[in-house]
Amino acid sequence: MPREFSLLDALMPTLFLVFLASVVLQTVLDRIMGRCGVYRHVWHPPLFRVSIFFCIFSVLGLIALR
Amino acid sequence: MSASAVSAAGSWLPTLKQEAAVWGKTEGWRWIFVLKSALAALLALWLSMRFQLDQPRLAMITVFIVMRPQTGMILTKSLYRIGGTVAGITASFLLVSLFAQEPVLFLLGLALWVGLCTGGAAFYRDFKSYGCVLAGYSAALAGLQAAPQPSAFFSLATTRLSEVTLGILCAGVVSDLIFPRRLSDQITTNVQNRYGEFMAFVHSSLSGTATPAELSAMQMRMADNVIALESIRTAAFLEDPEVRSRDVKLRRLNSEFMAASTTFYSFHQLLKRLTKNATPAGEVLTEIYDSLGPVLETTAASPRSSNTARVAARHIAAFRVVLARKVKQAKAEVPALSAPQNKVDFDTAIELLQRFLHELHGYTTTYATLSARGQEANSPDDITFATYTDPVVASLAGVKAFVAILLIGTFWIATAWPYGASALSFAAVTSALFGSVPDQYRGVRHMTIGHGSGYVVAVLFAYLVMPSLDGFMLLAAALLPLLMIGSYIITCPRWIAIGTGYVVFFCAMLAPTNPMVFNPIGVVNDGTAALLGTAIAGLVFMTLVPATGAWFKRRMADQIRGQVVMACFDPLPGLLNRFEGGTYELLHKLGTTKHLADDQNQRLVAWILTVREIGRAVIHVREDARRVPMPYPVSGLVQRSIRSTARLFRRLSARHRRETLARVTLAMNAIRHEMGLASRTPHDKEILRRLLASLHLIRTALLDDETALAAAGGLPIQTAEVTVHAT
Repeated sequence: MPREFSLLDALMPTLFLVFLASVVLQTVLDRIMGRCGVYRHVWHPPLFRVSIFFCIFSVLGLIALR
Repeated sequence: MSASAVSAAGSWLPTLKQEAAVWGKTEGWRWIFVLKSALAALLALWLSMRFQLDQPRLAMITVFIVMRPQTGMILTKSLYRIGGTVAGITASFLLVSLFAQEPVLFLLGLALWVGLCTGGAAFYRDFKSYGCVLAGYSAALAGLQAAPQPSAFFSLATTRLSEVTLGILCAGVVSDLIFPRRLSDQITTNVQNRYGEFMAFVHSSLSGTATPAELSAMQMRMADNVIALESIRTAAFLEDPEVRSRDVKLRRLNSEFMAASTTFYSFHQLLKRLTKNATPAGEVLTEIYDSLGPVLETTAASPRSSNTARVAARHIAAFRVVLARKVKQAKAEVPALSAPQNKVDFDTAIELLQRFLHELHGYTTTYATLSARGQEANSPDDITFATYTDPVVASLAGVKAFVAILLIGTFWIATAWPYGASALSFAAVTSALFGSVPDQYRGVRHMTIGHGSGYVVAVLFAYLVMPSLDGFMLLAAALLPLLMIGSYIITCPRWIAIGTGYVVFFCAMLAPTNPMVFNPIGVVNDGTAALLGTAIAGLVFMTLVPATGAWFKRRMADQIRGQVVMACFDPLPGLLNRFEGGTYELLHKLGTTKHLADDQNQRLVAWILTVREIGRAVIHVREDARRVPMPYPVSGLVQRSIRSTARLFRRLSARHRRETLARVTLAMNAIRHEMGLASRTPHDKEILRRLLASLHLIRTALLDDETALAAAGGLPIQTAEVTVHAT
């Protein structure tokens, strides 16, 4: 995949799109886990959330840029 | 000897632990906040240097604008803030592309945008207000820098956007990860405190130990509490899934609380009136009322666990049975009670007391089940809390910002001032912040103090410390104490504007860049211009329709009375909650505007209380009148008394007050007659009795010569009585 794409002739990093996709994915996942009560068994929910986000973003980013 | 040393060690260790625990509760969270915000600012600084953004100071400034100690709702806010920033950048993009060659039109457009955003910041609250602040601020920043070189605008705008967003994200992540103050914890403490406070309030007004001033202060605190819970709840709804599942219950808790406290207030007022005139009903009621004390006493000891609350709910339910017995007994024993005038007084008071107990029972039950998991299957979900801000006052803030920007812009164009841009951008930032604070008067003063001190410190730092710094680590170490001072000031709610002003100005003047540019003369020039911008914005805000003026007071009073008009005419579904929410909001707003002289403030508070009593009674009348079928003349009379009440509150006069009294009395007579008819079922009679009680409540409130209504209407009580008996 190319590193940059052109949005109305302005070059944007592809990672930005990946970032947005990860945010969406994370929000959906967060809702589902909240509904199932996963956070009740987690020591530090915000840390858990951020870590999940980092995992999603890194995996997607690595896939996209490979 | 060793034994005594051990015992000494054993004695001071627990003491130390205790001290540490107390410190952690009172002072500890402040230091956590101070460290967190300093860390977030330095992180933002480092990251933006690392990413080679050209103005790392913007990221730092944003961190300090965004970080707030009281609440943990950073992530929720972040969304709105990023949205606001994007909107601001887009607006500046439009302005530059349209008017890059036309400074006058450009500044006019910018002033319009900033004015709009300031109005929005004053109109909305919490995170929406912040979004507006950031929209104005980022438009001014990006637009002003790009105006001289439109061809470079796009890259400039994206850089500004990344800097502000970076600041927002750093603040959000740091405050969420490190010792987060969880919203659900805050909700729990808020709810617990309020429960305890309300019980104490009821108890102390029962026993008569508290002075009226103390009672009024307690009510103010509870109003603040209601508004605070509402804003935390809205934020938590987006943030915390645990809270989301309890959302309906929380809303119900708030509405039940408001209902119970209003009913209690009405009851208390009625009782005061009855005992003052030494009516037999008053004496009997006081006796009944006194027996309520012990029931609440067990409850007033602030039930921490849901179990004690459940016990308290059971006590209250038991008392309702006792109450019914006592009422029967009193009616049998005191023959004076069956005289028509006394009977209606007594019935109304008992009706209110029963309603209060019912509502208190509901409130306690909801409180008890709050921590239980799971949603009730059939809980009604029609409770909305309407927030209300005066659009005229908000748009006035916008107009002020517009004028300030226009003034500075004119000066800039007329004199070709090289530092006009920084004056203008600071005027934009500060006026957006002024618009969002509740007390603009104090906000302006404090912000100016903060900016001034930030300026002095920044100049000293730039001359004395900066030259000997080498590398990021040293810079961070040197900045840390100065940033921490600012954040510590922010933790005192009273001086929040001073702290913010200081830190923001300090970061802005220092302008750390990568590679570092050493330019003390630039700091002085830029700083003077920025201070001037703040000062002019402040002057405009303080002089153009000042918030202490007579116009504001009249406006506030009209708004308070408008609540009753709303109660009279708005569509019924959900009206009770809207009415109570609006009244509480007004009470809260009065609590935050300290600039009104004390007696004026007291008068407005008295108005709110009267309005709350009458408005609620009107809503009850309307609800009950709908439930029971009545022949036209009777329902027409009820309608007319409502309309007449609305007219009275729209236009105060002795004539309208007399007229309203007459109409209410007529309606009451008609209903009494209707109740006597044999064709009425017991159910209908019950509703008619309630209707009568509500109407009687309105009547007594109108007759009372100690309320704000009497003070404004200027009608001696005798004339009123004569009118009533004549009808």
